[in-house]
Amino acid sequence: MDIREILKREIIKELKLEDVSPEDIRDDAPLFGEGLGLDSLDAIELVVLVQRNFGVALDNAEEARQAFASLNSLAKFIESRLAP
Amino acid sequence: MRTVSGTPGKSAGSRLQHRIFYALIGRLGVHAAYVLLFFVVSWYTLKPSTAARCRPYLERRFPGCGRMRMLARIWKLQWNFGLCLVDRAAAGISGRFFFAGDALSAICGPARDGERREAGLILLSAHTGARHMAQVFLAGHAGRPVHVLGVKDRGDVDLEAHEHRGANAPYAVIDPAEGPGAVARMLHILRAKEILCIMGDRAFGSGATLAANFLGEPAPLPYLAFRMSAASGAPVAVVFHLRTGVCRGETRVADVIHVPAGLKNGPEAYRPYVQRFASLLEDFTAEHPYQFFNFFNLWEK
Repeated sequence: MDIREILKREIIKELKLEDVSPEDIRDDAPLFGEGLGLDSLDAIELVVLVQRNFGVALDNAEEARQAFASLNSLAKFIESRLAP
Repeated sequence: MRTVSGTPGKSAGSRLQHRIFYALIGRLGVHAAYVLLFFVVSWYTLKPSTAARCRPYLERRFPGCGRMRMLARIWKLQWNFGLCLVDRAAAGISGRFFFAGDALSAICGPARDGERREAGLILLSAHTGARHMAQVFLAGHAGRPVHVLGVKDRGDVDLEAHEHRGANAPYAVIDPAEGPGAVARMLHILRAKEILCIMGDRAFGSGATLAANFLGEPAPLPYLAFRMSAASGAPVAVVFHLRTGVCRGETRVADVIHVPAGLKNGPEAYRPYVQRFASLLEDFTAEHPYQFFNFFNLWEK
């Protein structure tokens, strides 16, 4: 399954986004604030789910800020870390 | 975004007034600064803006207090706050400060032989007593890196102890304005078994508070520390810092809270923990009413 699809499914499940389906989450929309509307503390669950599902650690503030810009950027970040 | 610094934090005095204090401490010592402080505090106590900043807390801590007694309480709160600031400056200028850190060392210090540290530690505190000096002590004695969430308010011209010497802070500072990036960094810190200091009486992040009963009314308090604890396995040590005398301070450990992983009911699951913190802080204010430096309306909806 595509990383984006896994992320959408896990974000909805872990952040308990009611009335949101994977199709509602645009790949290029901001995850925080406008867009999906997550708040800063939701980043805790995001960090945990990225680590648990992909074994990728988000441990640098600047890297995390860039990765969390959108679903696309998060997926690209994970892909870059998984690349051999 | 509302941040840790999203509450009024501007220094009451100007930069020049602070420099006068610093010069006095450097040339004549801390007691000379206390004398000046007496007059400065008395002057500020008469200003309506000072009363407005102190009343939300004092009126709840001392309900039904008459006008003159309230004025005396405002003076006493300002006086104690001023003493802490003068002591902090003295620590920076002359190195004069004694911190009784046994309790702090016991929970934060190097692991004893045979012990294995399983996780980091979250130190949850509030704006009380000699908190700045506690952080300095901790950074020097913990035996592992210490990180503090929060930056100085814009307009705060008070110098930290290390700033008097032109030195870097002995602890790392995390800017809450980094938002999700700051959160990722904090989790990494805890997984690396390091120490993270968070204030439990200031909100971090938009909407990241839960109402807890504090001094008889619901007050929105942040649950960041407990959510971080659940995600990382790091316990939350609730600590309150005190000024105990001339250039002397101490930290009391009120409780160590373990938050289980996998709490499933969203923010509501953290309410009992936030309430526990509020109750412990209330106990502290009962014992040391003039060492809780709350200068804004914490209860405002």
